[in-house]
Amino acid sequence: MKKYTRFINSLSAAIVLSLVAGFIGVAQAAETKAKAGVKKGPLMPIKVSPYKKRPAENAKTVAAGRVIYENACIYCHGIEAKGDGPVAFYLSRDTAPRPRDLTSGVFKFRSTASGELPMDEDIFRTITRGVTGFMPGFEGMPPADRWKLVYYIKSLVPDFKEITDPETIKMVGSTIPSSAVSIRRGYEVYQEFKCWECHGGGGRGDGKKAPDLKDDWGFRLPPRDLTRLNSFKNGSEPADLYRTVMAGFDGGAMPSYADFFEGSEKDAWHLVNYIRSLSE
Amino acid sequence: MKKATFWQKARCLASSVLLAVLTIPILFITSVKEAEAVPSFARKYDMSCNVCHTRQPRLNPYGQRFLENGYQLPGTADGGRKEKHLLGGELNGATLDSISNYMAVRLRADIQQGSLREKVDGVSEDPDIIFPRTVNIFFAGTATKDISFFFETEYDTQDPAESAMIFERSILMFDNLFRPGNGTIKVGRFDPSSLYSFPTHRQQLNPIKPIAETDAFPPAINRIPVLPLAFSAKMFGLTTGGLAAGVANAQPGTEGFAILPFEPYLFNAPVQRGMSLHGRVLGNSLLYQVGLVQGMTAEETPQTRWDTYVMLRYDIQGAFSNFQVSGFYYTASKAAMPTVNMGAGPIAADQAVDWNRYGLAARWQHKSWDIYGTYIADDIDKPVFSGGMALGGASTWETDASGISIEADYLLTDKWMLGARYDAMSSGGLIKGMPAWDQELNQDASLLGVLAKYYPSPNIGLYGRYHHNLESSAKLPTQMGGAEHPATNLTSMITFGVDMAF
Amino acid sequence: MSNKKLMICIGAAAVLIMASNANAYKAIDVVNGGSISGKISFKGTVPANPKLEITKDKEICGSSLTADYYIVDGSGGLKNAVVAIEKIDQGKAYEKKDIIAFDNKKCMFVPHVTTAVKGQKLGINNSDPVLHNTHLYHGKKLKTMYNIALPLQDRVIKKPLRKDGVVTVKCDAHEWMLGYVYVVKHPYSVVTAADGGFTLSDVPAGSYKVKVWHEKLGETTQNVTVVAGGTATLNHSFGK
Repeated sequence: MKKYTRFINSLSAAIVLSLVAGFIGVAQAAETKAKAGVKKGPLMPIKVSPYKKRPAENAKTVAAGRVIYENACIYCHGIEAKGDGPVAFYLSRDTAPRPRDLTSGVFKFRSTASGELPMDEDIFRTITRGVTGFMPGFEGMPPADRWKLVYYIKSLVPDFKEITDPETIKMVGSTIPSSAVSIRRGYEVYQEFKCWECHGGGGRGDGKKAPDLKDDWGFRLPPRDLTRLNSFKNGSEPADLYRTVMAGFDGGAMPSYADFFEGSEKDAWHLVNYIRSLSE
Repeated sequence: MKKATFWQKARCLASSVLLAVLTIPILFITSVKEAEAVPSFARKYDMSCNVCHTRQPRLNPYGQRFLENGYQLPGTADGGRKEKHLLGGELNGATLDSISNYMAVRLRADIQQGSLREKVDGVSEDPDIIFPRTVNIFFAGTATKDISFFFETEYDTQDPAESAMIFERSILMFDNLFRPGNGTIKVGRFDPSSLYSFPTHRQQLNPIKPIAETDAFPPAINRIPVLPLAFSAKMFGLTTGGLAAGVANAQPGTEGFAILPFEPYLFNAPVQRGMSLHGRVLGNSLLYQVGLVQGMTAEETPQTRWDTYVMLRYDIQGAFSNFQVSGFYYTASKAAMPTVNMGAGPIAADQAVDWNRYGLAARWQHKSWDIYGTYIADDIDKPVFSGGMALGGASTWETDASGISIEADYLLTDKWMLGARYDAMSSGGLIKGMPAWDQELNQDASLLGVLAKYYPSPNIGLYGRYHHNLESSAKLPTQMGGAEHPATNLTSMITFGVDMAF
Repeated sequence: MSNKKLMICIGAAAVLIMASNANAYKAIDVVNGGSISGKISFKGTVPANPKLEITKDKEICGSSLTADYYIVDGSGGLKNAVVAIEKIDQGKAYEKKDIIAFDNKKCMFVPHVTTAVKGQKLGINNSDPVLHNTHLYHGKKLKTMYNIALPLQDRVIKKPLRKDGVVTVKCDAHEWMLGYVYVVKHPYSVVTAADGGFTLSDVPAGSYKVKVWHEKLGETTQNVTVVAGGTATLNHSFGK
């Protein structure tokens, strides 16, 4: 009997300790369980696969990212990344967008819920694609360098250290092939959710609320003319539009509609089809 | 001065209206909203013109770095962008963009009216409608990673003989040879001052050429040009040579024989053929450039000469601002032939003279302001005329000269830009053409100009500009052809026009 | 492993769990608690409430609205100030699942100022037939916390208030709209009534720093000592 005592004691200790550890994590586990069946993750889409050979995130890659930043980014984003580079006023004097203040922790193009930090992949996508009309896309930069920039940008906002897993939007369903029925339903959603109040009845960005919209920094922010697909700063692929409607633009006036699409995400995909049909 | 008749004024008005009417349809065709932009680099990277330009055509610091980096995004070597078509398959590195990503056209047209105190031969006071005035076609971009090209043709309707649609500027660049940013070699026909803090190509105030005949000496200059006088030759009495020393040569020279004191020369002759090496050292702030450009000596039998220059520029970035200061030294050996004309034709000095040029420039951009200026000094060897006692005493030479040009541009709104420029030139060279003249030949010149430019879209600028000749009240006589010295003859110049690129 | 060592392991784990929760507020049974009450007032000439420029949706919002920044009654009582204990580690229980109501009504926020406990949810509603988007900002730097579209009438959207501090509420579609949620880590915060009066009850005996905050008039901190079963008085007057 004696020789099993030790074994039983160890086993009990292990069980108790794991119960204790489980206690701490039980709330998180329940939350994750509730979200099962819904895909999480960044909505790219992006032609270059960023996922291969992603370098480690550590002090060395952050420092390398800083060097790349100083060579490629300071002219718009500024030496301290406050969006105060010499070029900012030539882009626009009083109308948004201005180069982003990367220290603010507020990011526009995300796959995460309203008010949340972006995922790493979101920042990578923005660097790769640029922002049409305002920021060049750095596809010509090797992916490893772009990841180092992502890590450097994350190092500028302390919240990234605490929040390593921001709440993503729910990616339910996927692109619905465009059809008259789908566009019709999208049109109904556009009316019901009052998109026209800002974007206008015809989607030209001339809604009644359009003239006074401002971004978080006080710059005038005209709502997007939805009839010009290739001017969509968050991208114009169906997944990009879904992401825009669900996540909203933090720092801007475009709010998140995720709560109103909950349970009927298909309507979001129909809305996406309607918006894309406006450019034809 | 003759007063403009009613018909002249009516014609002037009608011309302005006609020009306006003609440009409106063009505006509709080419106008772009907001972020969409047109010329080739903007197409290639899908960006607004104003990412690289303060307002087209002037470059902002990002655009300057783009130019430095061989038309690749600063901090990258993106010549091998994926979207290009690969020639010869995946393994072959050569790529070709679609043509719209490297070809662009620039069109300038205007109505000019200069007011002259004394009407001179060949110079009319009627407004000139010059439509188009200049058409440039560019091909610029990267052939592959770190190999860049730039070809530009310029057709100038005011100088059709000179610019018959040949490649005015043609450059091949090999970028980032050592560590990234350290060294780029440029070969071809280029403007040596393109990286200087006051580059003279792509200015807001495009140069208005002089009206002059340069085949004889002295040249007949009937109207001073309006351009950055700091870069002008500044020296009176110089020719490009081809004369035997001391011999009165009754043969006139060819066009370009006389070096016009008001025209740009050396470090900013519009185009020079040669090569240069530039790069950043000691971090990202110090730019160096060394260059070798070709010319001909001004001797009796002209030979090839190689000018050398060195330029350094230091950049400081700050919040919404960039400050840069640059300096250069340019030396040209046997570049000009001092010449006098005693009535029997031009007589050359014993030897062609060396010509050295030094410059200091600074540029300060802060928010909507862009202020830049340069001081440039020239000196030549003291000319020696042996033989003929009259020559030795009569003509004395100032061997140095200097000039200054300062411009300030301000963005009043996203669409309106205002500008002002001051140019002054303290001339040198031959002091008196002939002993009998009581008027000195070399006269200082200074101009003040103001500009208002409206950009309905980033690639189209509609401007109105007014230049005042600050020396005009001096009313100096001249023996240089015409009733009055060109430095004072022009009282003012007013121009309306369009400058667009697509 | 001996029993002794096992006990030490479990004990260490328990201590670690407790240490990680050290900052958290702990609900206890407050026996013989005291209270803090008083009146927040304004002395002097009350600044005029600016007229708000109504730029859109006039058929719902009306053609003019007056701001509700300074509400002072006849006796000088200041409404919509917040009185909150700065730091308290244990005290009365509160319902974590409570939804704090916040409505867009006739193009103004109702209530204009409210308080909440960190972790509680703000229940945002739109009573108007026009599109409002309720844009919450956190802290002095006004960092976006949420930007929620409310296109449908009478459908409450619940968002957790995850950070303590002053939450500023605005609407991008109607730029004159302004509201505040004062979030603290415990339930001892209250908005003053129309007469400036307030009461914080069931406060365990002790000495506390109490903050009095007003959106335009600033804030002040006062030391208050609560005696078991007694009422501590806190009066403060903004203005001269």
